[in-house]
Amino acid sequence: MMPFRRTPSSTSSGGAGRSLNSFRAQLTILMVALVAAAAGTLGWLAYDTAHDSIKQDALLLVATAADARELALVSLLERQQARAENFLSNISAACQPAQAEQIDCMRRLLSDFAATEQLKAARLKVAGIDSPVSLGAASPPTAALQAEQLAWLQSGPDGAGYWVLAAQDDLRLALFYRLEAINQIFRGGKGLGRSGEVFLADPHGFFVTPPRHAEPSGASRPIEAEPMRLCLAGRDDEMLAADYRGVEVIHGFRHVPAIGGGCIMAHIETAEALAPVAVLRQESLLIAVAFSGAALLAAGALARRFAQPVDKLTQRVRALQSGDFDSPVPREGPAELRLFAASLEQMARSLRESQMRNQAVLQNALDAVVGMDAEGRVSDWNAQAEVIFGWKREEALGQPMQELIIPERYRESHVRGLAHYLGTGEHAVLNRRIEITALRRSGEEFPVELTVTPLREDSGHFFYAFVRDLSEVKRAQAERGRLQRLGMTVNNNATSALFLMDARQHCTYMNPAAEKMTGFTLAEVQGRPLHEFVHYLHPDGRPYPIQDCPIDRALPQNNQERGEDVFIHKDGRFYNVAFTASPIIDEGEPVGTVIEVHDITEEKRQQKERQRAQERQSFLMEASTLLAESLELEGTLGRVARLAVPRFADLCSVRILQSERELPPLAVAYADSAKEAWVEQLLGALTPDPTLGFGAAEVIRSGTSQLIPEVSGAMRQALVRSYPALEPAVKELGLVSMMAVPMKSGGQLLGVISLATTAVSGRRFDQDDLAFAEEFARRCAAAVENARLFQQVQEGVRLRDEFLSIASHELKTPLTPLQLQVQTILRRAAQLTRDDEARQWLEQRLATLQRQGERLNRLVDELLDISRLARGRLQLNLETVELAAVVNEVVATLHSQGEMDRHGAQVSVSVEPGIIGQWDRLRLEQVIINLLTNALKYGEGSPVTITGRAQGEEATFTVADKGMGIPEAHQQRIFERFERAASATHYGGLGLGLYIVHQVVSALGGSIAVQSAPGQGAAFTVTLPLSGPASSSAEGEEQ
Amino acid sequence: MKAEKTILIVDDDPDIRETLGEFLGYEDYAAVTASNGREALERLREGSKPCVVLLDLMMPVLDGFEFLEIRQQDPALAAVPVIVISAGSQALKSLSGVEFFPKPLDVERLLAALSRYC
Repeated sequence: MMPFRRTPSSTSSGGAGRSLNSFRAQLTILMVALVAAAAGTLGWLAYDTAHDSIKQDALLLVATAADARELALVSLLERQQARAENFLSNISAACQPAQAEQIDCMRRLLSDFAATEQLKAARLKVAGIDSPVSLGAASPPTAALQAEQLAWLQSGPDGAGYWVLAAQDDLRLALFYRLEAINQIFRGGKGLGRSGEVFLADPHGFFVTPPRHAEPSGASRPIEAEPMRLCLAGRDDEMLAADYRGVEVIHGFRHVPAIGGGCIMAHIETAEALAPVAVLRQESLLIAVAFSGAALLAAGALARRFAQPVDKLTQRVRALQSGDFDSPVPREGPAELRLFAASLEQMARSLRESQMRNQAVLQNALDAVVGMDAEGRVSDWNAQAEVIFGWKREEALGQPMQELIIPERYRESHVRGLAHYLGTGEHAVLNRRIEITALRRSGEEFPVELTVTPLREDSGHFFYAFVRDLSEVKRAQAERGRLQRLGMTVNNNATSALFLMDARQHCTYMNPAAEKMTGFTLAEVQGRPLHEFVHYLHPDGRPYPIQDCPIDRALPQNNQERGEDVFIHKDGRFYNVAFTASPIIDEGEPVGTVIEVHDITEEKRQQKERQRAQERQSFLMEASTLLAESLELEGTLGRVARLAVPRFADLCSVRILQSERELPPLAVAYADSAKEAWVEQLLGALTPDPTLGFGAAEVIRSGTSQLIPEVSGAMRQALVRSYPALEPAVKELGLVSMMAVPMKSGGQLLGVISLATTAVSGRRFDQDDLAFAEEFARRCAAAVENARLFQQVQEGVRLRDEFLSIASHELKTPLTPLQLQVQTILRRAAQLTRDDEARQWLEQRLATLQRQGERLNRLVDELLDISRLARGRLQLNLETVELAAVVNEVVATLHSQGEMDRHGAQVSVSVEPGIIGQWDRLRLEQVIINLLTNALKYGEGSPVTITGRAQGEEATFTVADKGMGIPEAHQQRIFERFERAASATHYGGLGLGLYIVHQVVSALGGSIAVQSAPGQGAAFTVTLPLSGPASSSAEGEEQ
Repeated sequence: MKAEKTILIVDDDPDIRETLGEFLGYEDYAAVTASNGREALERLREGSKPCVVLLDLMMPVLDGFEFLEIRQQDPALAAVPVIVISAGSQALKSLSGVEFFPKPLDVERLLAALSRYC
């Protein structure tokens, strides 16, 4: 911590200077009065005395003035003294307690002080401690002196409490005076005139203060003039002599013992000294004396009345100049001065306000403000300048501006330009905005915008530069440019069409995708309503008013609009679009609309295509289902034709070819049901004309598909020529498009499907439709082929049945006389022979014949039954039948035919009597016969039982044997056709018995079940509803 | 011989006509034969009064169905009972009201039936 601080404030030092000046001013007034008085007196004296005596008087005056002049020195020394005293008190305050440390402390403080005061040497003697200090190195010319000074300092004048400081500053050399002595010397001194001055030499003859008119180089040389040596030696003198310029000067020398032998010198140019004397006349001597007295009085009064207030005012004005607006203006002296002071205060106030305003403006200006004087030094530097350039105000002020803020390479031209302006008044950059590169403290260069304004002030040229840092602006510009380029790149490469409209729906922008989509260039559309270019018509030709347009509605309603619509290309074609129109609102103001548009024509087409494909797929599926549902061809094709209309065509006709001959259309469907019958009739009457060259007739001729996308007038004429009957239809229906496709199977043409569109839909067929129609025809062809095959099969079955029927008839016919003959012989046997043996023999043979005949008859019946059952055409003749009666009859018949005997089996019947049902007697017999013969056949001679009973609404009877039985695995199979559990080799028969039983029982609404195990016999149980089959469906047609 | 027990046998097969006639003869029936429907009509219109007509269906010239139709329309003939004998079983539906015996004939049942008419 430094106990001493020099007060560096320029204000306070300036204040000291001014107070000195004002003192001087007062003094000057006084001096002027004194000189006037003295000169008047001297002039009066000189008038009567000789020239030499006048000079002597002048010399005296000079001596007196020299004394007075030195009073100035006192003030300086007083200041030094004040500082020193302050220093000392600080020392005693800071370095109290221990003496040993006190010296060190004082040395350190003194050293600090000396450094601050730029002292070369100092001597300190406080409280008995005598400690000379040498500070710094002496410069060569003063080395000797330094040593002497040190010697002096060390020997020093005696006496406690004195201090000495040696400085090399405004006094240049040593000031080592005992203050007491100096004060004695200079107290009460007088002044000199314009050319007069007083100066001091030290005991060695060096000037303490150099004379104004001394030789320039002799500043630090000892004065070697004779009078000076005498003066230093102790003799005072006055003399007249020419100085180095050759001007006659009056010199005065005074020895100063008090400072160790120095000399005070004073001189004044003789001419000046004598001038007042010369102009005075004797007559005016009295007036001069009086005037001098008055002047003296007036001077005193003025000094009191005016000089002091004026001096205060002057001080105040200076303070104003330096910016001190706050101190009050003294209101002293006469009224005029007070008035002046008042207006001065007024002025100060307004000046202060304007200054404050200016200062505030400058300091707070967004621009940096840099002031520069004519020498290129910074004279002003506001806060923003600090920010921009990085130099503090106090660092910048007074510095060469170019070095602070101008990049090195421009400095020379700056200096040249400044010099040129100062020399010629011409300038290239003043008072206009320029952009240049500036330099920051960090060395960074950056762009600025500046305006330089020259100011001509009293004190010279000034320049004010208003500087704006453009680096942010430039950066922002670059960023904006980059973003703009990026935006443009995005826009230019976007696949979406982008439009911008202003608030009046006028186009302001289109990207390349939009230009491509609309066919217009931006230049064609820009500034005009977009709607009028791309959206003015509906596809059907109706005008599209702009007020209906959702895109143009987006902005006024401040609502994002999305949707699909149809636009018009420049070439007039329509295309489907999906759009999004978004209003642009800027700070609450609707400014425009941005519209993003996609051409979805292709999408729509694909969607339609998909839908169409789907429709066709479902159509084909439905058609296939229909075609598969029935083998009955005509109705099916009719339904299929109807399916195609109107989904696929307006008119569909299906023709089937039969052995190279075209049949009338099997099916005709027309979209307008009111005209369908008429169209069908017309088409039905047609015979295809192979010379027509197109359509169905051509398909029949060539076997290839026909597609006529658009039926031409010539074609219509040809149609009418070939088919005159069609003329009204051709005219009325408005045939548009036609297709005819062959139905082929295995390379054979089965038929033709003709499809047409008329005015009903106005649709045109294309290749796609043709391909689809061909697929449709393929399926129809397959169905036709299937139906044909089915018909053939049916025909085959019919032929077989017919054959079987005839065959059975023909087989049975010879059986009939055979049977009758056997019966006749049997019945006649007893009459024919009385020989019992022979008769028995005969009867046995006849019985065999009859049995075999019966068997043959049953086989034939079975064959017939099979063909009937296969077609589900079992015919039932329901009648009221009593179960027990039928069973007994069958048993009796078989018995009479010797069946039981042949198998060696006992048949016992136990059927409840009175079980009556609605049954087919013959079929019921057949069931019982089949079951019974089976039981006899497979029962291997075991007893066979037939039991029967009623159970609710049903009758149940069981035929059981105790034979070989049926393995479980065969138990279901045995009811199928041509199946049997036992091998065919061992057991004869067609294997149809149980199948027929099963079929008959089912036809009667009943069921049959078997219960059996190998070796344990089999029991077949038939259950029949008493009321017969549930429906009469069993009564199918026989043929 | 009991003349009143006359049976008209209508069949195109001469063997059937003959054997059936012989068989019935042994059963004390007098048999008149015709080889088709037209002959049968002629026999009836000539004055034969059979107690029953045994009628085959499949015959040339005039078959059994046609004979039945004509008989149905002739009140004089309609009263004559008819038993259809046929090797086929077709078109039985249209023969409602007429007794049917399939060929070969179950002679026991045939005799039982005949005995109801004669």
